[in-house]
Amino acid sequence: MNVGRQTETVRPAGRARAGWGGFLTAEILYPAVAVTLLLTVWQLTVVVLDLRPTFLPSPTAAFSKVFRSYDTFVTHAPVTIFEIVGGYALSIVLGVATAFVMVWSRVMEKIVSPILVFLQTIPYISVAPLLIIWFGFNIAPKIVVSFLMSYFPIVVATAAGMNAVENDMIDMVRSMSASKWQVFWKSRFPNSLPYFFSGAKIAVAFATSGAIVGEYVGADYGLGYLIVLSNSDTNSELLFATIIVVSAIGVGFFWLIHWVEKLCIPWHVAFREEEGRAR
Amino acid sequence: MAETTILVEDVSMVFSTRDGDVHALDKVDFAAREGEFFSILGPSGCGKSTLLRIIGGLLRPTAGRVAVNGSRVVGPTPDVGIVFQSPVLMNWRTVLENVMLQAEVRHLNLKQYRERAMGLLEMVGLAGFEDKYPYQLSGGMQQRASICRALVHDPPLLLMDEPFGALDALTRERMNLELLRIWEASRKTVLFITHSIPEAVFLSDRVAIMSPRPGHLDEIASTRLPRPRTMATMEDETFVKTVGTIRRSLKQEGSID
Amino acid sequence: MRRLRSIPEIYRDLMYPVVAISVFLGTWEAYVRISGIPNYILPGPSEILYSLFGYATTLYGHSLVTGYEVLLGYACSVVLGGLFAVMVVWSSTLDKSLMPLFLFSQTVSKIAVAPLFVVWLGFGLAPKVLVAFLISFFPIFISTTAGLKSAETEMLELIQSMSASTAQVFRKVRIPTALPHFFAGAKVAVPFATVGAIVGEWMASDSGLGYHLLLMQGELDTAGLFATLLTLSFVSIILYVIVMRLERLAIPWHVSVRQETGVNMTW
Repeated sequence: MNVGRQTETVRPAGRARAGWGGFLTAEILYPAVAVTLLLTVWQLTVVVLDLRPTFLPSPTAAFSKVFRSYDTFVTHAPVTIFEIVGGYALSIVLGVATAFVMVWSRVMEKIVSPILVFLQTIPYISVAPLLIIWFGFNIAPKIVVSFLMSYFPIVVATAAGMNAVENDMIDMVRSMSASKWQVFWKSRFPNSLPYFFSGAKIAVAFATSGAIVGEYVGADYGLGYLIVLSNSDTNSELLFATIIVVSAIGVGFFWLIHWVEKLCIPWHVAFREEEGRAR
Repeated sequence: MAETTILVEDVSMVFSTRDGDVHALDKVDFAAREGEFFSILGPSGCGKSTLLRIIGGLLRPTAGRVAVNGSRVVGPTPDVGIVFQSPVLMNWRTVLENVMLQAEVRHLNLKQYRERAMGLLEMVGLAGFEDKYPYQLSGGMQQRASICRALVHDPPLLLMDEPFGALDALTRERMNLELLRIWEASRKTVLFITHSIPEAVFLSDRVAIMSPRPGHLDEIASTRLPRPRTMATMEDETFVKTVGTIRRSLKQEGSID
Repeated sequence: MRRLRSIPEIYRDLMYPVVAISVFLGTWEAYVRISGIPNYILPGPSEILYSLFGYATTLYGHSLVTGYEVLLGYACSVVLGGLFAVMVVWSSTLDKSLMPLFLFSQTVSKIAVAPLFVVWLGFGLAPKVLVAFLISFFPIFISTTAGLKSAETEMLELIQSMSASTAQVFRKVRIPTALPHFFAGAKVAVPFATVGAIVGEWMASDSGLGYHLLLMQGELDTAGLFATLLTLSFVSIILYVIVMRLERLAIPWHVSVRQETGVNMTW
């Protein structure tokens, strides 16, 4: 679609650099208001109805519990974080490698891609009990579940990105007497980066869930273990505090990936607030 | 008589698809001389782009022979610059980096070619835009950048596949004049593909008319217009006459109603 | 240009994965037999198959329980996900007030919240369905919203020029545009719903495939564990195939569905 882009003038650099004003309203202010409202209603409900803390603790109680049980979290959180990082890192390395192999070789694509479609539909969390039998109560099974959960979104997204290069672009690079490797490295690889990052952002939440569930099934440490423990002790305050910590870790990872993405692909549409052109 | 740059002999192309064979080209035959501006004119879907890709070595013909600068084309032709209908700029590279892709992939001296790239960008009126990203440029500017990319390694042959087809009529006229200016300064052989009769006549030394399904060259017409050509050329009697003649022969073979 | 692919071609496409999987299973079986690895660590494929038949009735009963939970949770997601998406695109007030809440809820790991539902809803069907719903809701809601918003401006202006009501704009333009997106989200959500039901069962239950998984783990019956995993994947895949079939019925015109015409050249 070249309609409307025909004038010989420089287009504005986009509103992304227009300042913090728009960002504040869109990404901070509205959610902040909504969340504050939600928390207020929750607090009032607990206070007015005088609910038992075992049933539903108030948000203030839950948040303060995070700090009151600081020592507990300092023991358990690093274990979970380590499992998430391990599983997620494996996913990125093996996921990108799988995507590369699939795009590089047609035979591999024909072998791997139907198997992937099938494997994708398996609820991987259910492999956790098996992994406990194989690896025991240590962190290995959690890393594996975390990996299995986060692997597929990365493979699928990255392979899609490597394939989403226009034919003309490939022909253009080939016309420069490029080797197969150069065609990949100069066009397919950079083109796949935005896709990779969107897959990676989805995957980070999966990796977190994977580690937590791995701990549900058998663990002595970690936030998932803490959830199971507080649940069986009907210690709802600790349960809520743990959920808050788990959420904070998930959000932290997400923003980390988002930041890395911004560093790696500043040229991408998402960072210049402009309509992506259909090509 | 100048040397022959492009020699196409009896080239046929058949694509086999799930729905049977598609005959894209049938026994195409022509030769373009060194330094010549040669156009191929025809309706869309007549196999023009396929022919251009075969000459560039991006597609292998089913039958026939193609030679560029006296050597037979078997893989991507070594010294060629291609401009497609869309600019196909990489949106992760700045304008200059896009132009320099050619030098990078060909393992040329980057420092030396960087200077050449800057010179070319200045020539097409993109001085000061070298650090912009493609999305910050208009369609016409993007296409100019892609022309610089095709020229940066100074290829003796330029293949252009409806390069201005996506631009509006006014920009297109201006780009035509600029292309002629660049061509007159460098005197490269240009193979230009278009579906616009006036554009083909205005730019070219010779125009080959192609009929569709399967693509076949029916007739090659010389334009015989003096150079350098300007806007005034388009009002020239010879120009108007030539356009008319070509239109009639396209009509005769049923390419236009 | 649409034409059914001939049978031999389908076989040719299937050949690669079938050969690869056969080689994999053969190697696995051979490894287990030659190395003499204990059963409870790694049973061979033949043994897993044997166990699958041995547990057939039990697994059938449990898969009905789990299947019911998954189906209910998933159905809620489809209905509410679609409905909320329409609401959010229909009214910008709702968009501004609901969207942040949805996005915020996204940051809370649903799997971590699962135990809470046991506290609140007890040991019955409800907590499993709720977790299955919560996990599978978001992909459907988000992709449908994106789909509803992806209608071209020109197309919207065209229908408005025919003095269409908002409902008509949705029925004629937005919803058809959104269908491919909706189905893409719905397919992603299938394994999510299964995961939700399983995690729900792990928190507290005495039936279902998730429960059976833990039972097998406790008995170190690894072949039975594999057999349960297979059954579970089967449940998930059946649901997936159903959604795929519906997609084919609903949007036969879309690229993701239509057969390749074979002509993808660039002239």
